[in-house]
Amino acid sequence: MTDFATCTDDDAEMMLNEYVDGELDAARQPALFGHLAGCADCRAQFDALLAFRLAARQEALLVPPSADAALFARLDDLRRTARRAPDRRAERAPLGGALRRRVSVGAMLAVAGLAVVIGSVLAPRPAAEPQTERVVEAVLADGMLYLMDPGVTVEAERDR
Amino acid sequence: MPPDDPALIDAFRRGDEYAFVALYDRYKGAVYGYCAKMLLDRTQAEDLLQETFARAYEHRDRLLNTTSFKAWLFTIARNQCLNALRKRGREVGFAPEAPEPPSPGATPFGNLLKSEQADLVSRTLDTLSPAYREVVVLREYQNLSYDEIAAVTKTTVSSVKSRLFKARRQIGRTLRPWLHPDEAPGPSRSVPTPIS
Repeated sequence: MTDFATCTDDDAEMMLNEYVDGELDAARQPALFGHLAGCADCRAQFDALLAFRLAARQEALLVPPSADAALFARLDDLRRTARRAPDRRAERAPLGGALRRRVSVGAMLAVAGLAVVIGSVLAPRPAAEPQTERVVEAVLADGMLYLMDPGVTVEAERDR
Repeated sequence: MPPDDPALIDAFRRGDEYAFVALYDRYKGAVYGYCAKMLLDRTQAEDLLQETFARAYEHRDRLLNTTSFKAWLFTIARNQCLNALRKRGREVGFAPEAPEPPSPGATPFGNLLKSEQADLVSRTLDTLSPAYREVVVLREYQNLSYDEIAAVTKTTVSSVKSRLFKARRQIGRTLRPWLHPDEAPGPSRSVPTPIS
């Protein structure tokens, strides 16, 4: 590799790159051109970047006509494969395949979930234990008695 | 008047095959150029062009945003290219031969035939690692902005700038002797003016 002199001012080189890309704002351009006026190394780098760009953009990169035909043949294959795929699955598993042809996996999961919910609602609940009567005796001095437990019978006399 | 990109992309996402063909016609040159310069092999680039659009067709439901179609397409092409380069064993550690510097008195770059210039540029690209080459190709051949390159390469704008900086330094080292073959390389010939 030829060892050309290199400018050690990385800021200037970064500005040069941004300028070449049209990304250097106008306020910083005088600083760049001031540097270029005194730095032969950066001027040579500038020339090299412009020469590279010119050569790159003049190079003809035409898509060969065969590419179109190859892609469309490939897409035809994809479509055919997509149409055949469910049938192959059906052959491997007759019942499951038949179901898959008509019902998506999501729908099957939704139906299974619904069945679980309905089953849990309709399932017979364990018989409630027979309640033993509990009697509480109380004397009401005044006001109301609020009965919170339906299994409790309150027999009370109002204190007059 | 041909439909604009967002209308075509929206139709393509809904499964309109005519829209897909229109998008293919619009972008095939860019994708082919990108692959050709990344791989430096036009035959393989043709295969990857086909692969890229076939994948785009198959996975159109993954395209969420119509404004990022170009970046999405280049991302698919990029993955294909990097895989191909990996298969080729041209990952980091493999150092291709840089073009020989010209002998004094050789034809300067500007006087070379266009095909010779293109060949020299390709050999210069070949000296760059894939990470550097891709930012140069996306910038110089595809004219993508820093933001677009960052989206394609899944990195940040500052990383894009840094990679371009280093890649161009390498390009300069390779091409400068060709620009002025009569100038003998040597120690520093200039005193750079510090930037205030």
